Order: sequence, then C-alpha cells, then structure tokens
Amino acid sequence: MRALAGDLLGRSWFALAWWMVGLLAMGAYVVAIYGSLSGTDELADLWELYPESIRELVGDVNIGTIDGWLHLEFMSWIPLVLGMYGGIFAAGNISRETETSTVDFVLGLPVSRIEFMGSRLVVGILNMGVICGGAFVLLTVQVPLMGYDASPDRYALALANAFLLGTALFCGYALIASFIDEQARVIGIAIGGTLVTYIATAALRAASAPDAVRWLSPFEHYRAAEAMSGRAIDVWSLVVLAVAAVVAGAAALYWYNRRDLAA
Amino acid sequence: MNTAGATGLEERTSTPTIRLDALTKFYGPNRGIEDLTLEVRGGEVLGLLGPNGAGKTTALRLLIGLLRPTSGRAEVMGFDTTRDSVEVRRRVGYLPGDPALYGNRNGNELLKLVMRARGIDRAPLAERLIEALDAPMERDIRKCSRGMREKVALVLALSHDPDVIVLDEPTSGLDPLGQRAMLSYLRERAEAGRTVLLSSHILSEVEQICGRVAILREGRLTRLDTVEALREEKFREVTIDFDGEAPSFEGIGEYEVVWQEAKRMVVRVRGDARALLVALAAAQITDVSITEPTLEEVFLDYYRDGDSE
Repeated sequence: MRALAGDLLGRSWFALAWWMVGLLAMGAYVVAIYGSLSGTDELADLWELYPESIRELVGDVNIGTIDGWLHLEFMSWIPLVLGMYGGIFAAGNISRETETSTVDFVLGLPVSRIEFMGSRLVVGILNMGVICGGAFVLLTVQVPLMGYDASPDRYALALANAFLLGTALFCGYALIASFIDEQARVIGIAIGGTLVTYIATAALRAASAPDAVRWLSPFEHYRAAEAMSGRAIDVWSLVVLAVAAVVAGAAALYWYNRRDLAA
Repeated sequence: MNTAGATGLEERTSTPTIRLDALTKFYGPNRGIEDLTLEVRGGEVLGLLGPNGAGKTTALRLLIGLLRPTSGRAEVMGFDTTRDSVEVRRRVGYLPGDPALYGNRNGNELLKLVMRARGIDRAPLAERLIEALDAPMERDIRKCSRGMREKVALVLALSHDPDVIVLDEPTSGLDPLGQRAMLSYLRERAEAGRTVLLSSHILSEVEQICGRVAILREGRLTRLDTVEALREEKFREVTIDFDGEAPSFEGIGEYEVVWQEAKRMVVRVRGDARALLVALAAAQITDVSITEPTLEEVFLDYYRDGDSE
C-alpha cells in the first residue's frame, strides 16, 4: 500500500497546493482586515442583523473579538471547503480510476483492492490534515504578527473538529465513489450534498427541529464556535464524527473489495 | 538437451498453470461466459478467439481477479483467482485491452511504481523490451499515441519476467515492427517455459504463435484444439492442371468441384491428405497446388456454420 499511497501523494500534491493557496489566502485576508473593523460598535450590531438561521449555524460567538471574528469569517466555512475537497478527491481518485480504466493497470499489480482503496482513504485523510495544519500554522503565525493575541489551543481544537468533520464527509464520498464510476456524478453529489447538508443544518436549527433529527447532519457536530469562544466542546460530537468516518471508510473498503470491475 | 533438463521441462509442462473449471459469469441477466473449462500448461501459448461479446475479456478479467465469478473457479499456479488474487497477480503479467495509464506520468515513473508495488529492485527484462518495442518511456503518457501507450503498457506488464502472461488484444495498437517484436518475445518466453494466454482478433498472429486456440461463442467454449487440427478438418483448396481425363475424387471424403475447364480444375477437399494424393497420383497431372486454409478462413467458416445452425 505504501507504493500506491506514495504515488497518489505525488500526484495529488499540486492540486492540494492550490486548494491551500486559496484557503490560506482567504484566511490571511480575514486576519488582515480585522484591524480595520475591530474598533467599530457596528460589528456587533451587524451580527445581530444576520438571519437567525445563519447565527444558529455559525454558533454563539462574539465577533467583536479576534477569535469570534476568525470563527465567523474563517472557521465556520472551513468544513465546507473540506467537504468539497474530499468529494472531488474521492471522485478523482476512486471513480475516475474505474471510469478511465487506470484501475486495471493498478490492480494488474500484486496489490489488493483493500490496499487500493485504503491508499485513497489514507492520502485523502492525510491531505485533510495538511489543509487543517496549514490553517493552524497560518493563524498561529499571522495573528501575533498583526498585533493580536493568538489562541493556538482554540485553533487546534476547532481545526481538529473541522478535520474530523471533513474526514467523515470524505469517507462518505469515498463510499459513494466506490460504487459510482462516473467522476462528474460523484463531484456533483459531493458539492451539492455538502452545500445542501450545510444549509439544512441551519434550517433545522432555526426551526428548532428535534435533536434526533438535527443529530443526523454531520455539520451539527461541528462545534468550533464553542472552541473559539473558549468554552468546552461536546466530546460526543467528536466521537460521532470519528465513528462516522470509520464506518463509512470501512463500508467503502468492504464494498470495493466485493464489487466487479468490468471493462 | 540433458536428461535432467528434459525431465524438468516435462514436469513443468505436465502441470496446468492456468485452470478454469466451469467458470461462469453473468452480469445481471446478461451472460459473460458460461461453464468455461480449460487448462493451459507451462510453455504453452493459448489463444482465445471469438467475435466481440464472445466473453474473451470477461474470461481474462476473471483470471486476474477484476471480476468475481458467478460460479465455478479459476486457478493460476494453484492459487484461486478470487481468494488469492494478489498471489495470482504476483505471478502474472497482465495487459488489459486498450490499456489506460496515468496521463501525467511517463513510462519510467510508472515502471518505478510497478517495481515498488512488486517489491523488486530491478525489472530484468525492461531494457530489452524497451529496446525491442521502441517504447517511449521518457514521454508523458498523455502525449503518447495509442500504439505508444500500448508499448509502454507491455513493458510495464512484462518486464518482471512473469511466469504467466495474460494479454487482452496485445498487438491491436502496435505498428508492424512492434507486432513482430512482441510475437517474437512471446514465442521466446513460451520456449523458456512461461505460460501465455492471449485474446486476439488478429488471426494471423494467433496462427503464428499459438499452439492451441479456444474458440468462444456467446460466452461458451465451442472448440479447444490445436491450430493444425482446426485446419485439418477444413477444406483445402486444390488447383489441378491435367492432361486427358479429369481426376476422380470418389472415395477420398468430402469434396466440391469449385470450377473446371478443359485442363484445369479447382476442388475443395476435406479429409485425409494421403487419400487426396493417391487420387492425384492415379491421374495424369501436370501441375498441382494445394492451399492450406488460414486460421482466418477456419474461424470465419466456424462462425458461419454456427450462424446457420
């Protein structure tokens, strides 16, 4: 599996670099502009003008503080980026391999399907970690440079939560990609699914839907607002995301190992 | 040849390297192959023949473990192709039909990946194959034509000198020089005791290198025999120039006079060649030419027969 994972890392770094450039540029911009807004009372008023559903989705933060601001403008949408990245990665490295028949070349070698799918899961999760790690380094370095106190423990906790959510979404899309062999369809499902689930989470919170219903949305278990406000995070949310990732990943391995790979 | 060597070869060739036992694959309600049973031994080159949809590719993909059989089983060197597919692929060099490779890599990079995946430091036949096929190993795959890609894919599939070679239409994209080099390589590996199973539409190449052919029709094995035996039972076309009376072919088996002039006739004869020669010896023959049927004619004849059934 090491050979396959190494090869995939080599092929995926370029795209990953561009995802990180976009994400980190946005993060740097968000940190940089805080200085021009931090003194204004209107910031808190502006937050009150946000629709209830959006405030529910983002969570209870004071956006007048640097950490609250970073949460609103950066941390709150990182899972969207991770979800889309995971979907595109799964489509490009699982569905596309079957669609274009490059999987015939790989599985003509003495590697098992478990190793093939496992290498995709490992590299996808590793790349999620690189994205989150990059965001952590950016905030930890840039916030003090801009003259504010950095909160590495809060960033680490929020980004760990984002990483688990991104991993759970990615493993779910890997499962879908294990039985849909069309890259374009899986990308459509992943992007559409991520956005719809994100919006549905806001709607369910605003509508005070029962906990059992809200609990089904992966974004319900993203608790970065608590982390960035210095409050305790619900450990069960992290456990649920970790378990979801393991179950989806195991299902993807199981299904891919059993299916036919027709010409 | 020394005795020990001969015995070794005998032992090697007497054990089937590839064994398909009532192998069946259905895609939902559609039949891929049904009840396919055959064996291929070390040192043998067996060709799978059949029109599109006959089940050739399905049979090869089952052998590599890319498909799961509906029933029956397949073994390569004693390893079950479903349960022990990794062990099977360790021993096999497999070329899929119309091979697809990563476009942003070149042949050398892919060869390194193959060697890492196979856990080997060097591919003993790589240089020879690259030279023989003139494979463009330095060029990005996306910039390669189909034939170039196929050459690179052949290098990747065969450079580790596998015990079993499984090729799906191996020369369909190659230029004539590439085809000749490939056939010569396969013949040589078979002589070295390797087992070769290939599917092909190019009957002349099957004729050149295959000892036996398996003819598939609608997923079923309809014939498994040597090329010679297949030819034997088909018509030979005999052109005869004679003086005097036309020769008689009564009692030599099945025959058909295609056309006849005053001193020349063309006859299609099936059966024992010796009986034909005896009949010709009794007549006043001035010239005779006997044309063996090509495998292509045999093949077409076979399918025409099937269609009319």
